[in-house]
Parts: sequence; C-alpha cells; structure tokens
Amino acid sequence: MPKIIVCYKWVVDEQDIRVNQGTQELDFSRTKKKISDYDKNAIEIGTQIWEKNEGSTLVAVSYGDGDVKSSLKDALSRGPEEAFWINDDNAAQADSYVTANAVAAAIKKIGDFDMVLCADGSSDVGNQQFANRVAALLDVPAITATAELTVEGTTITAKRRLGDQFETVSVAGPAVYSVLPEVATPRFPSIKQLMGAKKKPQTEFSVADLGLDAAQTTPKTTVSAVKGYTMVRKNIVFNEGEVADQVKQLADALAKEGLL
Amino acid sequence: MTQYNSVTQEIIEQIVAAIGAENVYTDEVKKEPYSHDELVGKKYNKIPELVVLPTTPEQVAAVVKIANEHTIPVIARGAGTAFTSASVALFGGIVISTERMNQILEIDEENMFMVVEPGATTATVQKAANEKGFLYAGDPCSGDSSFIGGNIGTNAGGNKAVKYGTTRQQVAGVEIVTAEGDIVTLGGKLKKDSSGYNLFHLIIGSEGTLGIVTKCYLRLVPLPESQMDVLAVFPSLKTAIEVVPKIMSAGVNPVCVEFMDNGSVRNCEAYLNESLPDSENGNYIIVSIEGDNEELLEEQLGTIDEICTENGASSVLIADPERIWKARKIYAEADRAISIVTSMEDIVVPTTHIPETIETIAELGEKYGLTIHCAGHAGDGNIHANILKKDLSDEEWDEKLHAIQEEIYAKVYELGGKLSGEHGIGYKRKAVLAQYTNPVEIKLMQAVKKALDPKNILNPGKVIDVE
Repeated sequence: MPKIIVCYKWVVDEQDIRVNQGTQELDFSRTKKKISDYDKNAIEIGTQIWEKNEGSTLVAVSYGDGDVKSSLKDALSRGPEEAFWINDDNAAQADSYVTANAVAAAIKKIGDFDMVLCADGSSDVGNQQFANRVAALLDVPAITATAELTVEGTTITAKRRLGDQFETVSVAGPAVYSVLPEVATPRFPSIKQLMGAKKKPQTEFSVADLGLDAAQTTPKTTVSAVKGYTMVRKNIVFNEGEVADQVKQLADALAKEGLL
Repeated sequence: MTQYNSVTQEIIEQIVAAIGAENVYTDEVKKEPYSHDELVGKKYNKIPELVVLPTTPEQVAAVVKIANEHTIPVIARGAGTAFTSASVALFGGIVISTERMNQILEIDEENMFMVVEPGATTATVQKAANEKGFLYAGDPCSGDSSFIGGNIGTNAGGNKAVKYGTTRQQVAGVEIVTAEGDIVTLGGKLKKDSSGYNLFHLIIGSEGTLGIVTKCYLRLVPLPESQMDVLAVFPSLKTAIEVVPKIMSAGVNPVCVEFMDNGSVRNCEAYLNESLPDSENGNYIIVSIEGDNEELLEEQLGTIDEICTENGASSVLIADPERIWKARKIYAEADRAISIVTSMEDIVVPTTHIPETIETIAELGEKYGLTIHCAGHAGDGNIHANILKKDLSDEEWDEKLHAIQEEIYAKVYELGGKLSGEHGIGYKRKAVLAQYTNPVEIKLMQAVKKALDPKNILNPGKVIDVE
C-alpha cells in the first residue's frame, strides 16, 4: 500500500495584492495567505488514494518561514495524517533550487515513500521546477502534467496531458508526481475534520535539522523586481458607416489580430 | 397618467448644449441596451426617446430642469440589473444613466465614511473600502455589476444583511437632484441626526421616483480579520430550512444564512461545469461567520455543526468561499441558461415562517406544473423563488404565472410578509403592491410622491400610481 507524501506551498492570496498605479510596485500589506490553489488538487488526489487503499499512509510537507505553521490546520483538515514543515527564516528569498533541496532533505528524513505528490506549479511564482528538482535529488522518476492518477495494488498509473493528447504511463517504484488541476477537485473539509486537524501530529524541521549546508540554502537566482503591468489598449472605435459595416470592420480587425 | 410631451429635436439640442453631444445618445442602436433590465418580456421593454450619460450632478440637474419644464419623464438608471423593469422608460422620456459618474470621491478613515458617485459598482466600492482596512457591508449578489446608486434605489439587501442590515443601514446620506432640478444633500457623514424629517431614508428604496441620487455617503466598519463559510447539506429542503431559526437563535450572530434548493444546486453545478458537494440530492444552507478571534470563531463553528447535525444535515463542511459563493451568486444567471423567461419572486416573511412559505411554493409548483428554483437569504426571511417558463407557450405562461403568483402572494401576506425584500417594486409588481397594501399606506405614498415630484416626471408608472 502506497506511502504518500504530498507537498504544498503556503502562498500569498493573489486577490489581496494591490498594485501601486504610479510606481507599479506590489503592495502586500493587506494580503492573507492560503495553500496554493493547485496544491489543493495534489492534497485531494493524495487523500483519495489514501482513503481507497487501506494500510496506506499520507503525510504533508511544506517549506517556508514561520508563517507556514498557520497552514497546518487547513492542510491536515483535508486528509493528511501528519504534517512536517521546514521553518527557514530566509524562505522569502528561496528559489526552486533551495526549496527543492529543503523538501527533498525533509522527505529523506521522513523515510520511505512510494509517491511524492505536488502541483505542476505554484499559484504565486509558478516556476514548475519543483517536481523535477525533487525527483532528481531523490533519484526517482518525475511524472509531470498528471491529469489522472490511479493506484491498483502495486501498480500506479498516471495519465499525462501533453497538449491535446494524453500519455499513459505505469510506474514501478517510488516517483514524484506533479499534478494538473483536473486530477481531483478539492473537497470542502468538514467542521469535524477541521477541529480534528488540531490533534494531528506536526513536526517542525529547521534547516540545521536537515543537515543542509550554505551552498544548498543559497539561491541560484535572485529576484530583482516584481512589478505590476499596465494593459495598453488599442482603443480602436469602429463608428464609421452603417452598423453592419462597423460589425464587419470589427470582425476583420479581430481576425487580423488572430482572435477569430 | 400625466400627459407627457415627446422629446423633440429642439429639446435634444437644449440638452446637448447643456451637457455636451458626447453625453447624449440619440441613435437607436446605442439606446437599445437601455430598453430593458433583467426582466424579459415585451411589455417590460421600451427604447427610450433619449439616453443621457451625465458626468456631474450639475449635468443631471440641467437635464432634469429641461425635462421638468417640458413635462418629460426622466428615468434614473444604474447598471440595469433589476428584475422589475424599474429603470425602463415605459412611458417615454429620457433615461439618465449614471454609468459615467463612477468615482470613489473620498474615504474618510477617521470618521469611517466613504463618499462615492452613484455609478460606481458595488464591488468597486467594497474593494476601495477593503484596501483601506474597512468593510462596506452592502453586498447584493449582483455586486460585481450593480451600481451603488441602484442599490440605494431598491434598498438592496444581499449577503451580509443578517448582521449588517440592508443598503439602508449602510447609507448615511445622499445628494440628489430633485424633480425641479435642484441639487440638495440629505444627511451626510453623521452617526446620528435628529434634525427634522429624515429625508434621505425616503430616497432609499424609492427607485428614482422621488429624486435622482448623484452622490452617496456610505458608512464603513472595520474589516474583520477572518470570515468562514459553512456549507451544511441536507437531504430535504424542509429540514434544511427548519434549521435556520435554530441557528439564528443560537447566539452565533452570522453574517448571513443563505439557502439553495436542490434544483438550484444542480443547475448551478451544470452551468458552472464544476462539481459541488453532494449535489445529487443536497439542499444547501450556507452560514458565514466573521470576527477577529479565531477561538471564538471555532466555538461558533462547533455550535453550527452541532445544530445542523442534530437536525439532519448529511454533512457540515468548511466551504471554499470562492466556489460556494460563485454558485450562490450565479443562481439567477444559471436559471436563465435553461429558461430565458423567468419570474424572479423576492418575497420576504418573518424568518419563523420560511419553512411554511417554502413548502407552499413547492406545492404550488407541483400544482401548476411549473419548475421553481428557490434560493435566497434565509436568515432574513427573504426568499427568491425563480419561476421558469421553459417551453411553455406565452399564453400558458401568462395564465399559470398569474395564478401561482396570486396564491403565493396571498400566502405571504397571510403570514405577515411582503412582496419584495430587496429587489423593489418597479413596474412589474406595482399592481400587486396596490392590491395587497393598506389603502391608507398607498395614500401616504402618493402624498409623498406628489410633494416631491409635482409633475410626476421622475420614473413615472413605477412603484405606485399617483392618479
């Protein structure tokens, strides 16, 4: 029965971000945080597999600053039996390289696994590197763009979306799966599950606990700026001639732009 | 009905001179969108003689003065999201659209008020308040598109009315243009005011028949730290609705208690193409609570869970607000996808009578063979019963609709209820309002109308008749 580890990221709710119209700087002063939307799909498919396969295990792992602790109740209410989180004061500067190093080290510490699940990308930066990097660090295959995931006995089958086609793969042995939103619709946890989540075990790792050295926790990339953008509209008005002519002009213009 | 004059070329020229040609529509195609609101039906639609889009109160006043001088109807219009033909120029005249008066003029953080123009959408107002750490508590389902001026016109309710009240409770004053074209401010940034008659409360809910709102003074409250939405699913609508008074009296102080019957749930699910929990048989009760103290919120969650479970809920869930509110707010639009013609009822009854009312509506639906989807604001007794025409012939529809409405309204008034909780009367419900309202009350309304609009030019033929 599979041992499942599901990874999630605690991100800023993008709806709360304001853009300063003058400087285009982002204002995070009134932002709240949430589990990255796509990671909820990963947690859900992990929970569904765990529920269907007696004897399987399901734990959650997250990496971030101390604020990640606030996410544990929500994550645990969605199914996982236990949560592990890596507390790194420098997480705000972390890139995919650092995040993957930290999570892979935590997974090694947690122990054997059959499936590591995560989203194809996060809803904040969306780098889509995490799954591949973690798989490489764990020396297991990465199964990306997973649209369907089933477990029958010891056979794990993933249906991958490749543009408008699907590729079905069977996986032997441990692997990392990054999933697409259609893999499973996140459930609404019950109030009892939310209350019960507080009683589930939570383990905090520091970077030192994971034995990561300075090189492993130093980002390879540095974000120099994040700014909003202004939509520059063409503001073309078709008001010459009869209405039928105007509609034709509009249709022609849209076709010219490749929109029809 | 008053004899009105037509909008002549000469009058158009006067208006163009007063507010600029760029703010005047004479073209039939451009005027067409102003010929209806969300109420579908030939008798409810009419292209106005003229549409004006003023940008200042002074421009509104200039148009009204000209209309008053020539005895021409003027119909104030917001986003056109009403279900009652309230802002349609059914008796000719000029539609004054407030869409270009859409600015947030001021957020007074110290006094906790904001001042906005009537054409700002409710969502824009809410967002502007949120960005300063405040809540504007008016929250109609149509808030993404409806204008704040329209909310005031109908005394819109919405999804926070149980805790915060309807639009009336959010408004501290209005600037209006009177029927004679004067500009006056009624009320203002005051927490209390006993200085004579409170005229701005008369304007709220008057649907543009007593004055045209050109500026809105709105109350703000501190933005709560967190809100949680509970979805309780019940196998029967009856048990779902019966739980509402129990939640209301349990000391939970919810922001709202909403409901959706199973037909609405399934239809919204199909329309959104998104799965909703237990949609096959589930009837939904949505309870929102908010506050700054997480422990207290969790205590309230426990109470809600206990009450709902004891009363037959099959599951009591923490809802993803985005998903559940999208479904709840899309209810009318989803119905429109399966029946272009609908009759959206907006009845309100004392909350303890909601179960009986809902039961009656379901029975009447069966009796007349009509599909009715019910949803609404159970916590404040406001039931939206959307009656669907589907493929009935026009004759059959008119006959059945009239018959079922008669029975629904009779029951509602027998239970101490009224015709409209938040959508207003407009043209659609005018005759029924007269039928069910005490004649003395109608007489008082007529006296008010005559005093404020002696020539009956402000949105005539809506709410009440004056002659």
